[in-house]
Amino acid sequence: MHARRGQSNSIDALVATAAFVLCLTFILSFWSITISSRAEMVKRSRLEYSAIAASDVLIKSSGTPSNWEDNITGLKMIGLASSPNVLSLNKLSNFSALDYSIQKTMIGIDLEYYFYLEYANGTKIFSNGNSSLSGSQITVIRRIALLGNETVSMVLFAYG
Amino acid sequence: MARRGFVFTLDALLSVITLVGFLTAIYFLSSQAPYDAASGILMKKRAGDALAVLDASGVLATVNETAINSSLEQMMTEANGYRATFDYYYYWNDGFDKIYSLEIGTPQQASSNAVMSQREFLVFESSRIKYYGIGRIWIWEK
Repeated sequence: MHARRGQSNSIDALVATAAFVLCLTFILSFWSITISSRAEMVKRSRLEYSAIAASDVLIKSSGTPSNWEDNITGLKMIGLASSPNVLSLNKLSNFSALDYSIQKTMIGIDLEYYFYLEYANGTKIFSNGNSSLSGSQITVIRRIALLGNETVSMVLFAYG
Repeated sequence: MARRGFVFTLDALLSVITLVGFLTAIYFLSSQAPYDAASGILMKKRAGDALAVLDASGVLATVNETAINSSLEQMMTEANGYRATFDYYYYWNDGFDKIYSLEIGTPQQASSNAVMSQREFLVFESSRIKYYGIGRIWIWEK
């Protein structure tokens, strides 16, 4: 009776231990997957929000000072619009003359960026930035503005 | 004794199954959450852009439904549905009278993820205000 009772308890303990280890493995792997997918989501959200903010700066703001294109050394904040959603060709050409690292700092993107302007029929009229578009994360922002009397789309890629 | 041990093991197994079911439910529900949280903000900004461009290009001042619709169609992507309303008011006798009301796009909001942007605008004639207007655009993913 003593031997049988001891054996029965050992089997019970083994089954319980196996169940516990199984359970612990499941919880740890579940936790690990959840944390990594959330971290990826946070990274992507940051990229998206910084790209949206950058597109706002480019098409809504005229910059500081508002006539910075006349004296580029006095540039404090970038903006490519003469008024909200109305782009200035003069500001665009002066912006593209800036160093890429200064452009990134001015528009507030930590990673890489590239944007182009196109007419409604798909004809590209201006592009700027690093067009390699490489990296694990990429987000594309499409905004609408006027250039001259034509409606154009600004397509901005933020990636890295 | 053996039967009592068996009952305890079954009890532990039931607990594990319940826990696994609980965790699976959490994982399933969290995976159903919208992955791209910024898309709503971006759609709202695009609707605002469209209103700003219609205003700045002078298309809203034409009070022409066909011209406004044509411009809007150029700005919207195929992935988006949209509906727009434009109300024009005339200031008369200490009050605003609505004189034109235009409705463009899909009459009904086809999706619960629709976002709306609104813009107030002025229509001038000979450097004087002719109409006060309110434009609204609803935009959603198809």
